Amino acid sequence: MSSHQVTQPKSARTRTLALVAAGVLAAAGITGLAVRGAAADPVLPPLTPAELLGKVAAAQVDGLSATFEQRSDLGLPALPSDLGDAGNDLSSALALLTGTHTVRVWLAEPDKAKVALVDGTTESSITRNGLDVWAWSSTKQEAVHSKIEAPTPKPSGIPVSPTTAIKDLLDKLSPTTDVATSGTGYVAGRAVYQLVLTPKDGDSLISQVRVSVDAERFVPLGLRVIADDGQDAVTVAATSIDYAVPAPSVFDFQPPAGVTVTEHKADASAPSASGKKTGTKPKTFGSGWATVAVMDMPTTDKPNGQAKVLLDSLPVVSGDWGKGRLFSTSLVNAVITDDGRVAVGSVVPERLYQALAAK
Amino acid sequence: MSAAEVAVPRRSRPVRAWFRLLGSELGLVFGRRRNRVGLGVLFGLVVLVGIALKVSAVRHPRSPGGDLISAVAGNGIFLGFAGLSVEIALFLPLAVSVLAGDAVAGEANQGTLRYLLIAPVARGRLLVIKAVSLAIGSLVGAAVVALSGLLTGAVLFNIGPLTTLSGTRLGVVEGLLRLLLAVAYLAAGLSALAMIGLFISTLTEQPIAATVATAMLSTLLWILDAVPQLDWLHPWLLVDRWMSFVDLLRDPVFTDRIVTGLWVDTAYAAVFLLLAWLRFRNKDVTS
Repeated sequence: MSSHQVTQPKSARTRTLALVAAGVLAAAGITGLAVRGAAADPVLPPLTPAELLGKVAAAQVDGLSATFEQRSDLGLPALPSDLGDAGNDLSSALALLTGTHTVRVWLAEPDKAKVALVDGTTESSITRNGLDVWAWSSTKQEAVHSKIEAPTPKPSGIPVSPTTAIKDLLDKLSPTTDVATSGTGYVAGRAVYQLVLTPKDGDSLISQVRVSVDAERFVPLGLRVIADDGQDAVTVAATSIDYAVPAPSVFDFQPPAGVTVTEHKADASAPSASGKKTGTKPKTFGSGWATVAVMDMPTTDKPNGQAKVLLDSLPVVSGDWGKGRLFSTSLVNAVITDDGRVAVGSVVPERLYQALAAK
Repeated sequence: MSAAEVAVPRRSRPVRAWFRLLGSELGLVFGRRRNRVGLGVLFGLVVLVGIALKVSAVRHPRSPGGDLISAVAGNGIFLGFAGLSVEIALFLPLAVSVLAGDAVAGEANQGTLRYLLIAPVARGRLLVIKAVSLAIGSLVGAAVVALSGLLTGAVLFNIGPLTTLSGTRLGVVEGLLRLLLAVAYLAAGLSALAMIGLFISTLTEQPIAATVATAMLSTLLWILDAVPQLDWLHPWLLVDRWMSFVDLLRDPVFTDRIVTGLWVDTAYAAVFLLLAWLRFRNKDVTS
């Protein structure tokens, strides 16, 4: 045997072991950092909720590109993403309610925005460039174009970004909600304030909503909805954010050759929900967190086989309001009655029955 | 190695000696008939996929569906990506497992390991040579799959500008560059798997056992990765972000998952290379 087989002194062996242990720890640390990115909470000057909300409302962001991760755990079974045929609206909507989803967001003031859902090997996106809005789906190989009619300063119906969505939410809260700031943290490597919203109505299924706000730019970076069982029902959090204005080419969507291009002519308010007409306008009961919406089942939609199977698997409930099936999640309850009405709300089922009886 | 080569003072020609050793190792790896047949299988599978897609494209022109596979009908470059996505789950890990199983256990089994150890080459360096040749093997495996897709795609479909998942167009050169990056990314992941295989290979003198163990481990990782109830575990699994190579087909390229994936690969490779070294430096060579 060669000289390398000579038994080493004990100290050398200990050193080797220490080296290996250090290597393993370092590698584990790298993985941990790459996967989670945990750190102690930052120390920030205290702000009252009003001050924080004010700064959020006044925040001026010329542009950003960010990645958000959305995670839902509504107590629903995780559905296979290919339930039904590809591009089935029902199954894709249901798939969004379970599991983890990654969303990329680009914003450039005043009128450019792009949101892309980048799960797995698919991508669907909505791009707004001035008055043009393009919706793209890689599974359907379809691009839908619509035009916004007038340059509205605050287009409300267009899903712009989680950031704007969180901001819109904050505006509507004060009468029904206890608002507080509580602690700090890090989101996407940036120090954040935590804004805590607690519904005043005890029948609400939501126990708390926590919003993380960038401590420097005052852009909401995260949202946690905690159900009354104490579990996180929905979390949205940035995993990376860059406040540089994105290149204009990002917002310049040109439908590629060979895909279906549809011109959408309706009121360009919601290109994502194109084509589906609900029967009547929903009636609402109650207010704030405990609002219940009652509407007629869309009659143009024939529920397909799988939807029917899903519906039939739900528990039957009945009362003086009639009879129906209860679809229950940790965040939302819905009653689908046998006479074709739907009552939905983030409330205990009793509130839904009251609303249905009040018809 | 001839006596004359061994006589060259090691200190003066370290780099050359290194490459000579690596060269002879690579010659062994690619000279083995089973490895060549394996490469042929990797190549042929993509050709089969291409033919199947061509047949279905002729029967159902413009069938809807926009996943990787059905996008091939529009562009041959896509067949390179589709081939990678088809083979990354089983065939590429299997091929890497075969190489890794052979690396140490194969030599021990044939009784050639002790001759290697008699040569004036430190065990650590020998292991590094094995690791580098496994990494090159991983790269060649992924490259053969991509090349096969590209050639088959060029013959059966047209090669032209590529539609990304984001609905934008990429020129041919840019498309080929993205394919190259995908090959490099997957080669990194496969190399990490190869390091696990190398470690297992130092534990046994039966190359088949090491190969089967590595291949089963990779399959197990894929299965664990597909169970939604274990989603807390997924970020820690080696294979979890391998499919993220399709993020190269987005515009702008989505690097978050790929970068994290490379870190995970690095961590796995580092840990198992260290373990392999710890085991190999004191391994008793009995056969």
